[in-house]
Amino acid sequence: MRNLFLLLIVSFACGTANAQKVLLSQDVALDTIVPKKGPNRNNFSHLYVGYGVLFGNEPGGLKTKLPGTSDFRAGFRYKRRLSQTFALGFDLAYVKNSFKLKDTNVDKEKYIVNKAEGGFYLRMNYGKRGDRVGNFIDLGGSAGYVFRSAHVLTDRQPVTTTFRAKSLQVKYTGLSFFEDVSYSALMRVGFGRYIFYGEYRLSDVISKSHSSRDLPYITAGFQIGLHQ
Amino acid sequence: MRSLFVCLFLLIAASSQAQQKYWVFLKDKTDTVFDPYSYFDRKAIDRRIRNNVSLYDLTDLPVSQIYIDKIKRIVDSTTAVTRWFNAVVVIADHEQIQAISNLEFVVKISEGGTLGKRISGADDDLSAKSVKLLDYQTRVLGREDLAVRSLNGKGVRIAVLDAGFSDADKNPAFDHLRSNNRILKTYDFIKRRDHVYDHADHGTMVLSCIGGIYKGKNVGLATEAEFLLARTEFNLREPFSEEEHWVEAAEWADKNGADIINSSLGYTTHRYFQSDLDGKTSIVSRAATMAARKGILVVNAAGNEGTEDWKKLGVPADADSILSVGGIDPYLGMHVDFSSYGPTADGRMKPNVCAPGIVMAAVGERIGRTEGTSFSSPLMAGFAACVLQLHPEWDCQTLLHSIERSGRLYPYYDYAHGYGVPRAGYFLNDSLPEKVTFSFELINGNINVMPDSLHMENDDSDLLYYHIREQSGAIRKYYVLQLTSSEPVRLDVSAYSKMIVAIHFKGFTTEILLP
Repeated sequence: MRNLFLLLIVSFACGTANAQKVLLSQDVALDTIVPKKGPNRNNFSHLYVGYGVLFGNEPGGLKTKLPGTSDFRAGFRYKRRLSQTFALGFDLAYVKNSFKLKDTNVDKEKYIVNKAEGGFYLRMNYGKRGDRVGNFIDLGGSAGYVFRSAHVLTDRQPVTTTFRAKSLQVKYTGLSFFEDVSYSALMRVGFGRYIFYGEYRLSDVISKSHSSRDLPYITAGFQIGLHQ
Repeated sequence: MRSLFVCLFLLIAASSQAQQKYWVFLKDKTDTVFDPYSYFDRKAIDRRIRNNVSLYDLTDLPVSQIYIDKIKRIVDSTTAVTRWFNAVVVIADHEQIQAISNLEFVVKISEGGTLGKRISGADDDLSAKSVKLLDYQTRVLGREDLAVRSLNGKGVRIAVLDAGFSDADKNPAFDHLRSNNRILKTYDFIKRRDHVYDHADHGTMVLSCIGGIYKGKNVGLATEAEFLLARTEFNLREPFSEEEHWVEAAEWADKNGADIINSSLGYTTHRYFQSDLDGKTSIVSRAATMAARKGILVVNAAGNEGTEDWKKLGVPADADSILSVGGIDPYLGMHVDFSSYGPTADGRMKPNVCAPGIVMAAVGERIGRTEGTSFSSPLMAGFAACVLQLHPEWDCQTLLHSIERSGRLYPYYDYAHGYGVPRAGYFLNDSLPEKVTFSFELINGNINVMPDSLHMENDDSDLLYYHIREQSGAIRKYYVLQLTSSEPVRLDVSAYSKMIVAIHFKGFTTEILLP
């Protein structure tokens, strides 16, 4: 686009469009400006998507099934370079957690939590690299606000046949026994755009006042950074 | 479960401290014994004499075996030893490298690395278009002029550093080399063996552009040269070890008497910033300059980043005293869009010259069309071998600067073409007639260029080059215009007071100092 713009300017400036055609136009000064944005420059931001599973629970916690107990996230990540080795940054993400329960009286039972999550991290890069994200380890924390929760029960043999349906699904939303806020410790190991991530939830999903049986607190998955 | 998570965390954290590669630079070369006559090939001795370089210096002495042994006692493995840099490449973890840094003979420890970039894609059919392309790639450099004087690189030794030479032992384009045993030595620096005819065909294509003959037609110009083939590059991945292999191969080429090294390699954004392109930062660029100081003409591809975000040349094309070669489009006769641009980070002109970047080259057991400055470089290496055959008394820097002066644009230059495509006739006293191809007038700070209609051919070759530069020589802007008529061309340069405008059209260059 920059070259096209220059091309147009030069064509116009020369004012002899009939006598010539500009085949090459280069402004050296434009090439020598040190960019401030880039994968290994002062500022870098990109979008990402990730998918993982949730597992690990206290003895006596609610048992869940894999697959079906999952973590989907899509978000924005910013990185501020401190040095060739260290960087600080933050994430803003939409997170959807599904917990498919194992011990249930119906065919399927799951809890769904939708969160707006914000996180911060310290990045440690290793290995020599140019203007590339490179290999790294992120350590940090995140906090999420649960803006929607649901308890979904599905039965393939409904007790009523009023609607002649093959299954009956009941969904309860705005679960009052779910905590509004969650917070976690996070770690990521990245190889360029490919990232393995893990989160360790430090807060409860289900309020202690409601039940002592909570949901899995470990998330492990894979993210792809949407950048070069 | 919580403890499992903690263990996982510690495991991954520990992996960041895992072993990696380091270059360990040593203080001196004590207790080393060196006899240049037994170490160097006779041709290497001759080259040093011709280049007025001492038979050996400190950089040629072997690395102290005592130091190597002491380092080996600390680390698990060493991957390379380089006498030019008096360094040992080791694989070590944090504790081991700390221990090495405490050795009194260690002066510096650094990480190393490079990365390659090539473009290739070939068809295998010798259509009329392919024959025309094959003819063009050597004709534009002066194949016919060279043939009249039987200049074909005879007696010149060329080392080719590349990613592998698959089928070069079978392809008919190299029959003449095999039958005369002119592939003198081969070595795979990755596998540590002599066999190089596998893994990748990039080197095969490159070799053909230096000295191949296919069905009686020249693919390159140095068909009678001698060759040393070194595999230094991985094919599908770009590990850091390529850098040390390159250095080792350059030393090997020096030892075995190479006059010219062709390196169609370029390492860019994955490992370097553009500010690193000063010829002094990367170990490969420093090694290329070291080779030049030992009298070897290093010819290196500028790179294929012209249309990428990086845009600039890679390393080691940024090295001082080497011939960096850009690409031209044979159908346009000017810069091909993918060819990387100069200058270097410290403002030196690169590329130095250019050559066709879309070519026919040997691939498999046939020949096909391919593109990239990877092939401009060997075409130029072959050309340089022919010039060296004509002037065996020249040292490598005389050779380099003569090739620059033979460029079709010389004394005009820019950062896309350097001095343009070299011309064999320059070396054969076939000087172009002094002709004035345009006139100009300076009006109100602008320049009107009036091309001479006698020199207009009304086709794609009517190219007018101009640049605006500071008096220090640094170009600010440069252009190529295709003239479609002999009407005056107005160059708006009113904003560039006290600067120099250089204009080139059809072999004639003039310079104007702006008021």
